[in-house]
Amino acid sequence: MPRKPSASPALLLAVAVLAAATIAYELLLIRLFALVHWHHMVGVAIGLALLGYGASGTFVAVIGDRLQRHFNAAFVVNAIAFSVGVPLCVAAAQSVTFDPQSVFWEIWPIGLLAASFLILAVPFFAAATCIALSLTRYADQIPRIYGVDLIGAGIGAVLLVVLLSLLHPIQALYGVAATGLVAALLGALHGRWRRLPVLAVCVAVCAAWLNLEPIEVRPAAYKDLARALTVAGAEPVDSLTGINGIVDVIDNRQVRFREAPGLSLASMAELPHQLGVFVDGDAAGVIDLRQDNDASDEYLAHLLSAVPYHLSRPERVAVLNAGVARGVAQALALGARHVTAVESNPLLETLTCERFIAADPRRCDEQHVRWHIGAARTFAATEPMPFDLVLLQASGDDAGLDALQIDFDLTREAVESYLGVLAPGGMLAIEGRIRVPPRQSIRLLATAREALLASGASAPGKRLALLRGWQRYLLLVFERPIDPPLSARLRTLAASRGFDLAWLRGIGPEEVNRFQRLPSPVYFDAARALLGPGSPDDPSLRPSTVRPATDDRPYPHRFSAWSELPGAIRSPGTRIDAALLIAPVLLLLALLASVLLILLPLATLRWRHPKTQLAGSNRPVRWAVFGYFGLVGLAFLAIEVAWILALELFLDEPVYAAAIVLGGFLIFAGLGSLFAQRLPEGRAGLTLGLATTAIVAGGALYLLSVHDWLATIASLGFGWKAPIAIGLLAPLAFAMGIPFPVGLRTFGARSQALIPWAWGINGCASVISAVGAPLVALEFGYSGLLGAALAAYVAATLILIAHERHRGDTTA
Amino acid sequence: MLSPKRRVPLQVAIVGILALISLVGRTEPLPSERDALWAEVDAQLRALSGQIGISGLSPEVHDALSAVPRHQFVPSGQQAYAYENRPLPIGHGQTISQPLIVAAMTELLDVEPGDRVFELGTGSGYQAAVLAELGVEVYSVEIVEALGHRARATLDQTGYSNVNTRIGDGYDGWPEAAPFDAVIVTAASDHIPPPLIRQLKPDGRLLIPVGNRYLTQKLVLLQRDQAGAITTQELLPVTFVPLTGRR
Repeated sequence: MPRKPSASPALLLAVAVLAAATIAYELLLIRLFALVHWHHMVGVAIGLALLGYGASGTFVAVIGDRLQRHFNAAFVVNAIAFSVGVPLCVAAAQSVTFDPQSVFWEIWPIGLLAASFLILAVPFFAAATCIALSLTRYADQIPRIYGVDLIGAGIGAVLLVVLLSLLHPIQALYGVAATGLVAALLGALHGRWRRLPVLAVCVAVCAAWLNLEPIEVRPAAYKDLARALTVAGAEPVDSLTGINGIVDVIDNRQVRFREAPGLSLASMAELPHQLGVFVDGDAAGVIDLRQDNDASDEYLAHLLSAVPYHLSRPERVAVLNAGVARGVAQALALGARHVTAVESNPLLETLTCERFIAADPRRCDEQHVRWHIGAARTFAATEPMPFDLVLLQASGDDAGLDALQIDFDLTREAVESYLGVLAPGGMLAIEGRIRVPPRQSIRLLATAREALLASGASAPGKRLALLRGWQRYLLLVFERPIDPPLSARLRTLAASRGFDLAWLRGIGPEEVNRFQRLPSPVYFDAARALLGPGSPDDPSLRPSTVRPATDDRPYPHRFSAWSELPGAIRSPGTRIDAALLIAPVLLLLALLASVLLILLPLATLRWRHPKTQLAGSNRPVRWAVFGYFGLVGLAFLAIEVAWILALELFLDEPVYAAAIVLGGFLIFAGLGSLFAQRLPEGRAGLTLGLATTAIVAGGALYLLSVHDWLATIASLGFGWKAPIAIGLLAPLAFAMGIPFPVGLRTFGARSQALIPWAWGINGCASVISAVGAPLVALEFGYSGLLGAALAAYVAATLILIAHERHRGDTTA
Repeated sequence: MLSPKRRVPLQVAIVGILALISLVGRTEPLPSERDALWAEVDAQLRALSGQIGISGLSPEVHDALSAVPRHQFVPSGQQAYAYENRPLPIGHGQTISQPLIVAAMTELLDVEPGDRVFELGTGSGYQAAVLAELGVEVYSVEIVEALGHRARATLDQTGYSNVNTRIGDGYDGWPEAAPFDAVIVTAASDHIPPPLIRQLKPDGRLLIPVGNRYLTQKLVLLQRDQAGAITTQELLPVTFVPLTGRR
């Protein structure tokens, strides 16, 4: 009896290295999308990766026989193609310029953009082809190969974060490409196939990289940075690179930066010279170059955000999302003695307190200012010091592109935590951009109302005030009810600065909408309907607008309901969150691409190779494979996403947290897969049943208590929290690593031709899950998403058990 | 040699093809297109009268809009669309505003011959030309150098040499020419530059688009009364080219 071929350690290592390089490429694409386009494109990068994986399954299914005859050559060539493709495809995609405005009058730029994105999937395709070939060639070792694939990917995710903290993303990109060459060399070693020529090709590729011009990351023309650089006199003066992004500083002495959001219309203050700061190409504030006189500070007293200082002279102030510390300078200029600046991006602190400290040394004077690097939310949950004023800048664009953006700073639980650090008589101030009809301001008013009610306040309306300035709103939440003298001061102050009151207990219609007049006092009407005797049928009080965001459904920037979509499509002028228009299109494209590139070619196999390829796989079996791998593909990513979210909030280090969670998930899932290799082949139903039980238990833990439990230990340091997070996800991830290889082995035993079919379906389902999971979470929360994913795992298990029984029956 | 019987249809076909090419490749708009555009704009303004307080195009503004050759202010590749009621790209990520918006802003400025108007953001120069056509003394500043030069050249070519332009920072207005009867800011901003308010005459009007960069924005009318008190009023939703850089 001929001995079955065995995957050598060199091949297993090659698969692991290639998997590491592939996930690193995927994560790098996410970074590059943020730099060049929008950070909203995370789903696109993940979708491209999975699309490449899915398409490779199809490719192997279609011409797998020919490739298998030249396995070593196919593996090495594809690994080299990955390496060469990584920088080449990024460069090609960079060459496409896209102006979003043009889509209003031309359709072809969208096609061009889509094509440029598809190019980026080519390296994924090449790498995944290597893995799919390995899986089909060594079908009896599927769990082992899949296991090292996952472990390699996990290690790759962690290593990339280390790499990005040291190198520019483009340098890291070449590093990732070089890793692919290592995989090619290992592949050559496995089959002893033309080792020296392969080595020569790898050396030649490296030499070419060293001699060619490196790829330049050019932000798209519509990015803030690109626009600032087109202005006459613009001059880059500094740039910082780190894991939290690329920070650019631009000066312009000819056409000066002048930023003063919410400046009173009554103000004639001169603005100081300012430097523009951009994070990943997006505007992130300005650095005031303060002169040695108070004139530079004058404008700070006229901003809408200065109102709390004029009301009560707070001494202890926390400035959340401090950025480059204009809020800190404002607090100090207006009399605060102790200021805590909370900022999650350490690069901005470096910029403020090291590179540009001379611009205004007060902002980093340790006697008066303390910098805390971390999320606003976690800071408030763990800070023991009380504050007279907590000031938060709310983010969010008014086009609704952020509707799918997760933001834990503005959830009901977050507002509760901010209120928790207020000293007696203190106040919370949240400032953001105005939208008409009212959106974020009214939702936050509703959120604050719920938070106050939760803290035991009997009449929340007496503790709230809402003001409007030039395109800005300011929500004030007081620790105690507003007394008449304070109310009078607020009225006088608002009138003198030209700010409109939109809510204050006791004001009437004659006191609102006076300075910055809207066609009707919509803010006042909505606030009154929410807090006072107004009409509960006010159009601004639709559930989609008013319902507070929660930690389970952390989408505070989503304001439109799906029911508005048909109307918006019928009349293009209708205001609707742009993300709600884009997301279904992306989902549709993902479906279309999956069907065209994965399912359709696979379906043709049936009639192209009716006897050979799918021998032994009748229609019910193919449907079983479709259902099983589709469900597993959908569910794996959904659970991963839900856990990443929970642990990101807990770890308070978004980037490192994502790496730890993603890496941990993949490594432990890989170990689970390796464990599955040791299990007896004939007990797939039992194995899967046990794994699914563990997954459901892990999911239930999340659903029932993980948020609350993690909140109780949020004050621990990162060094403690990281192992706790890994300990939490490890058993779940371990169990989640089992269903895919067990299913592959089970169905593969029936017919080897089913393996690429299954690989393709899984890839297809993953593409859809990557784009669709956020939409499910948006509508039903992460508990809903997780519940659906758990149900999918149970259904998949039932399919496999049914298949096993059916096979048993037919064999008997 | 073709017989005369066959030659005639061939000649007809050639003439037809040439006529088609000339129609497709033409850059000069048909007068009927221009008339149709301003009729459409007039109808739209009438429909919006409840929101902006003007009832259609006044004869003066209509004549001014009709007189300015809009197609000469757009890049050659876009000239075929110059008389469609939509914004058009003019390069450097900027656009020439939608005719409806130009018309609305011109009406809302409520200028008279001899008035002085400051424009922040020359862009293509088209809005300045329309104002000049109304007999207004226009002072216009553009921060994108290439656009500023191109606009100057176009204004000279089209006979609007009396429009004063310069390249640079419009934030400080044009102090030497102040005070102004009206200020028009054709690019969005995060606050209203105090120098522009200072350079506005009592009872003067300042128009500014605000809001999101790519989607619907609002047009805000700022007025300064005799006592110097300032109020703003939000008018119709509008799409404008965003201010380059950030102010």
